[in-house]
Parts: sequence; C-alpha cells; structure tokens
Amino acid sequence: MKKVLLSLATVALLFTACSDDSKEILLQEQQIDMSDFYVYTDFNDDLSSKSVNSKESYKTCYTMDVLNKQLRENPGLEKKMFDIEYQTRKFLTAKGKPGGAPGGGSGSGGEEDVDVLPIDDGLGIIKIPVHVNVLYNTSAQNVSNAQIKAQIDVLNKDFRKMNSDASLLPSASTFGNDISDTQIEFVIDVNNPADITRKSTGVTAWSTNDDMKKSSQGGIDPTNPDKTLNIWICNISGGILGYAQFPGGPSSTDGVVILYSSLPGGSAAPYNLGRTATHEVGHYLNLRHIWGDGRCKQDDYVLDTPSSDGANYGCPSYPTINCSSADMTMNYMDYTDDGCMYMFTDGQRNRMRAILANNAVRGNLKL
Amino acid sequence: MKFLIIFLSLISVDHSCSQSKNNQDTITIEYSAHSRGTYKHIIVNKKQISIENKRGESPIIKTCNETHWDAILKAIKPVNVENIPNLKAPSEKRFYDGAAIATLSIVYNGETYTTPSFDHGNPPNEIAELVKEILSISENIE
Repeated sequence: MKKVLLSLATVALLFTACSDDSKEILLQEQQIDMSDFYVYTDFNDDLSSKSVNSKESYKTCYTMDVLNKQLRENPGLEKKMFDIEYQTRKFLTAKGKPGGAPGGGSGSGGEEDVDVLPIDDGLGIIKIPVHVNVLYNTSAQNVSNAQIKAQIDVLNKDFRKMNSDASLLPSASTFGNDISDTQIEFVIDVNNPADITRKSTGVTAWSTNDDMKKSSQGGIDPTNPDKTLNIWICNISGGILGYAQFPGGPSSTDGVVILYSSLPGGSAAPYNLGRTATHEVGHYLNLRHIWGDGRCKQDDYVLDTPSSDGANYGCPSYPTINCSSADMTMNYMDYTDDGCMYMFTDGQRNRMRAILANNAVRGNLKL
Repeated sequence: MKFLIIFLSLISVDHSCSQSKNNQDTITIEYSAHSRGTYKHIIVNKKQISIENKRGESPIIKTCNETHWDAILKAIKPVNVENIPNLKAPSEKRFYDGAAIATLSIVYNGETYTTPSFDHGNPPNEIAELVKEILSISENIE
C-alpha cells in the first residue's frame, strides 16, 4: 500500500512541478487510489464490551436480524466514510511533498526509512475548543477541575511534542525524523462553568453503546458537537479505557469517552498518565490504529508508520519486529502502556490536519 | 473430485454423529480478547480449561468435565472448521476501542485454523454459539 500511495504522491509532485493546473485537477479526480479502503460500521450493539455472564443477553443479540436492522438504520455511513477518506487523500496529494527515501518505501521493507514532511496548509496552530461532560456515581468518578486541567495539559503537550518523554525515542531507530509537532491545541477554561457539565447518576458503569451521550438514557447530551470536542469522563464497563467516534458519524454522539481513572494521576495504572485521551482524540481526528486493524498488508493510511499485523502491549523493547520491520510501539495509536507511548508522526499530523481543513468534515472545530 | 470429498470428510468435524475418541482428543480451542485495558485468554481441550484474565499472570487451570466438553462438541458440530479463517466480523467497534479484539482458533488433527479478528461480544454468526459456550464455561467454572 505504501508503494501505491507513494508512487501516487510522486506522480502528483511531478504534475505540480509542471504547474499545469488542469492536469493537477484531472489527477486529483482520477488517480486517488481508494482500493485499500475499508469502513468501520457502528452497529450500536450494547454487548460488545460487557463481560459475559448472561446467556440470555447473547440469545437476543447474536442474530442476523439485529445486524440487518442496524445496517438499514445507517445506510449512508459507508458512503460518508468513503467520501471523507477520498477528500483526505485528495487534500494530502495536493499539499503533500513526501521527502526522504528517494524511490519510495517498499511497503513492508524494514531497511528503508520512509519520511513524510509536514504539509503547509496555511492554518498555523489549530485551536480546538473542548467541553467536558462528567458522569459520576462515586466521589472518585467526580473528577476535579484540576484533574481535568491536567488531562488537557497532557493533550496539549502530546500534540505539540512538548511531552518530556519524547526523549525516550531509541537513537537506534529510524523514527527520529518522524516524530511530529501536530500544531493542534486544545482549549478549555476549567473555571468557567460553561465548559464542564457534571451529572450525578445511578449508573455504576456505562457500556460502549453511547448511552452516556444521551440525556434520554441518563447521560449528558453533547455541547455544540460541530464546533467543540466533547469529552465524556465516566466509568466504563468491561475493562474499556475509552473509545472514540471517527469523523462522519452522528453529531449527537460525536466526541470521545474516557475512563475517569485514566486521567493523569488516576487509579488505572499503567494507563493513568492521560494517554488514553491522546489515543482517542487521535481516532476522533481520523487516525486508525497503527497496525491498520488487520494483517501486514492492511494499512493505517499513513506512510511513515511501519506496517504491522497487530497491536503491541505493555512496554516493548526496541526493536520489536513484525511484518519484517521494527514496529513503532511508542506511537500513541498503538496499544502500549501510557508511559511507553510518546509520539505522533508527520504523516499522522498531516492526516489529522486534513480533517480540520476548511470545508473538511471537522473544519468547523477550529476556534 | 473423489479425493476432495474424502479429504473434506476427513477434516470436517461434523462428518459423523459418533466422533471417534481419537478426533476428540486432538481438538483444542483457544479464545482471546485483548485491548489496552482488557485481557482474556482461554484454552479448552477435552481434559482441561485454562483461563488467563490478566496479562503476564499465570493461568487458572481447571478440569474440563464431561458436561462442559459435550456442550463444546455440540457447539462446534455445525462449524465448518477449515472455513473459519474466511469468516467476516459483523461489526468493527474494535477499530475505535469500543470493543476488545477477539480471535478464535481451533486445533484439529494437528492443523490450526484461526479466525480474523472480530469484536469481543459480537462474533461472526457461524461461531457465535461456540464462543458463547466457551465464555460461559470460563465464567462459571470457579
């Protein structure tokens, strides 16, 4: 996949160099390769993360009837996801100037270093307003304003490459030219009551069916979801630390959910440095898991992340080889411990900024 | 063609009502569900069930009694074992962390067949009964 994309980008560069506008437009419309695209489908089944105690609940949910009903209820989603991906690639093809490694990457080749340069989209530092929704059943779940501020500080440090642990990057790796300042920042005034909604609830743990986002289900409706990143902080069942909604989903459930104890200083060690939020906001801004949620050939649509066939856990040593190259286990979009992930790449930066471009799906988020 | 039929009947688990003892003994089923905050690894065969609920901890090992094993055999019977690598996940909540990443492997006559990843809690329909049975046994075996 890398090869295809890179050669596509190289062709784009060639055309841009000729500065022939009509050809460039032709290229954008005809040569955006979408052959590897796969969509997620949100089936809203409320079972997915529950532990399995009851046979009854399984009987009612494992039917094709339910699945088909859910597909019927959401017919436009697949098309919408495809369109968003197409626009993202078009944007990156037009703006992108892949550098380094002349001749391109080899897909799974471990020896070649694929470098992507940060695109200049003219948007400078992008500021995203944040609204936090706290649902609590215990006093520990009613996280303090100071904890919320600490969480947003972690987001800002991570997205601006101001995190001190970025220095942990092994000098033997080829990732030094990939680590990125996304120039995306998050804005909240925790002392302004308008920025935080708190609600006491009888629900001891929420499932990943989005009920926490619906006042009709005892949750909290999002505040200005088209212009504001909504973060729900609550207890989640089934060992889930947090989950996100990709761009293109319903506005009424847009945002990310994080486990209250995953906040910096929380009790969910080794997931209590605030990196769950960083990971989920990555998804919210259109990033896939770094291993592409599949085998070696399934890609995360980012050129400067190595291919892999699965998640890494814990705190892996370098190099951890999969698909014949060293995995970027320190990337925020892997599944490693909070203390062992500390970077986005330039390719991920460009992809996130593409979704924030004017006229893009999350273009209205900018402050 | 004849060859193919013989071959298929040899590797198909449900080729007869009275599975030979030999075949039963070689079956091992493995279910795993992993996420950043979740870890579940279950291995069942005729003799024992091994359950790991935390990464890096040693598994709890229990005897697999006849009732449990019969239930598993019953659930595996309709499954076309050699086709499970081609099953398709009915949902993709794991892509955005809404579900743990699950896989099911069946070792049969020395061959290992593994499904692609699917959402823990929503397996492909073809193996739903089997997964339900394995999870139910692992939860209730204390």
